[in-house]
Amino acid sequence: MTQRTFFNNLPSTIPFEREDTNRYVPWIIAFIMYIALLASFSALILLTALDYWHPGSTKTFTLAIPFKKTSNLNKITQEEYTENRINKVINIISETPKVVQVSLLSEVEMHRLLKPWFSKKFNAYDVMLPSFLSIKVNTKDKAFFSQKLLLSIRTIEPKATIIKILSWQSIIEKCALKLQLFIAGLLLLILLAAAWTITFTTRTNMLMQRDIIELLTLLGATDDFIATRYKRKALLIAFESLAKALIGLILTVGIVWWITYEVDQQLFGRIILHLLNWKIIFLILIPIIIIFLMMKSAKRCVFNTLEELF
Amino acid sequence: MTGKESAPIVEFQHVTMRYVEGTDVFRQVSFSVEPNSFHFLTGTSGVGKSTLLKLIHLSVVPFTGSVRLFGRDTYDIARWELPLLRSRVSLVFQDFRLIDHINILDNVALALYSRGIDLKECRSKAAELLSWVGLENSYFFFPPMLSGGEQQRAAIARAVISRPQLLLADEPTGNVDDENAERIIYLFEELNKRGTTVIVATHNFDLTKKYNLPEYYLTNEGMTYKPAVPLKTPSSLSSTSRSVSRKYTP
Repeated sequence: MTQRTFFNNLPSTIPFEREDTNRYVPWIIAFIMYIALLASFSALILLTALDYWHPGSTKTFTLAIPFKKTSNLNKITQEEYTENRINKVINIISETPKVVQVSLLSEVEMHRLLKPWFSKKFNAYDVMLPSFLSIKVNTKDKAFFSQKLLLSIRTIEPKATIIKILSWQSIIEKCALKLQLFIAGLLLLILLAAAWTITFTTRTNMLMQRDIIELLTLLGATDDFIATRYKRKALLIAFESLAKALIGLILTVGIVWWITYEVDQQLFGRIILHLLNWKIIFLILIPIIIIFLMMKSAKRCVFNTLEELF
Repeated sequence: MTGKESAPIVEFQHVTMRYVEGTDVFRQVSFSVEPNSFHFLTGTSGVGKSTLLKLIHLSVVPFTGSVRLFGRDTYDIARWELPLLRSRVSLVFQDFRLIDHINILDNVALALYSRGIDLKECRSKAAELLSWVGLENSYFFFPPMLSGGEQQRAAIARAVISRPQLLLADEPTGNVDDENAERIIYLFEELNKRGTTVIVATHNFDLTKKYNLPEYYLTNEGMTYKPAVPLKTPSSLSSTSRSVSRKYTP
């Protein structure tokens, strides 16, 4: 029953493994890490999805000029009348500074876009549709600019409007900030929970192993030496928990991928590909911050408990 | 930071110790210990010998009076200075207090390792000391596998590995037979010859009678000093105690 091997390091002076409470700590921390990673991952997915669905939306808006019947069909056709009206509007837009491009949405394209919204029997060409102009501008204040432009256009086309396409997306954009704040708050709570868990575990262990801790202090061990044992243990727990949390996250992402695959075969894959940029650092930072916080909490707890006990 | 070398290593002035309100462990204890001396600290059980050693080892502070260690009042010692001072004072416990899940070699090495010394060097020194106390074949044994006497010798090796200036032993022979007791006292004498000041607390009056050593007798009311009387010399030690290896030269 002799131990005939020389360890490179001294075997753990403080017997952490002997406590039942220690068995559950890696699972608790793993759950905390999993929630943190999932929250961060969801936030990233949401932001990436918003960018993906509406790329460059900040620089483009759509102007609608309602259909208007000509009162003089004998002299001019309806098509010519409409074309004249559109050209006048395009002239005003083109002369406006900061407008980069203005293009008329073709009838064919418009009908293609509208087709799914009507019944199969309905002929989209029978509808008197407005004309749509896509305007690309080079300005940061798109909202202000578009309203200003609209006022000039309304001098010749009083019923022209700026189309609020994808209104649901606007709602999500508004909610995104609130959601980000919520996730930030959740992450803060998660960090506090991790710190509290490791502090509680460290303190419990120190009280249970009081004899050994006291012996170490009597042998002349510094507080730092004792704290290092606990910091090392916290690091081991953190790595074990991280591995478990990552397995959980991969499984969750896999399930979500499988569900979205039914809706759009490439949607999730494209979003994941979009995630592979600097934003991924945020996801990597979360476990690093938790690990750092755990080690700091363990050290602070050891110092406080030692001062209290001895 | 340290006191003068000629000054007493330990100096108690009118020290009263009290754990519970109204109950004094001992009162008005005054004494001093000169460097390189060897003293027995005797007294009946429960009189406060262990408490007195704890006061010297800075584990507790006196209720009243002053304790000076290496010329410094223990009241003035900051918490961060304790490890440094404790590295100059070692304590041998009656119940050995070896860590059960660490082998004997590492138990001894731990006393140095906990002060930031390289582990390889700590183990080398620990091996040397274990040979000195006669445990050269038990490096990799765990404490529960050793006898009381062997454990006590390992505890002594751990206490002296840092080459302390002051060695305190709290009933070191309390849990061992006479043969091992003599062996342990012999080790203390060897250390004392090499310049370590030794204080051995015991209530075993038969043991103190065997040796020609000065003695502090502690009572609840104070301390009395009994100087050494040349009745017996260390030559009276048994042959067993002499079998201890003398390889160690600090």
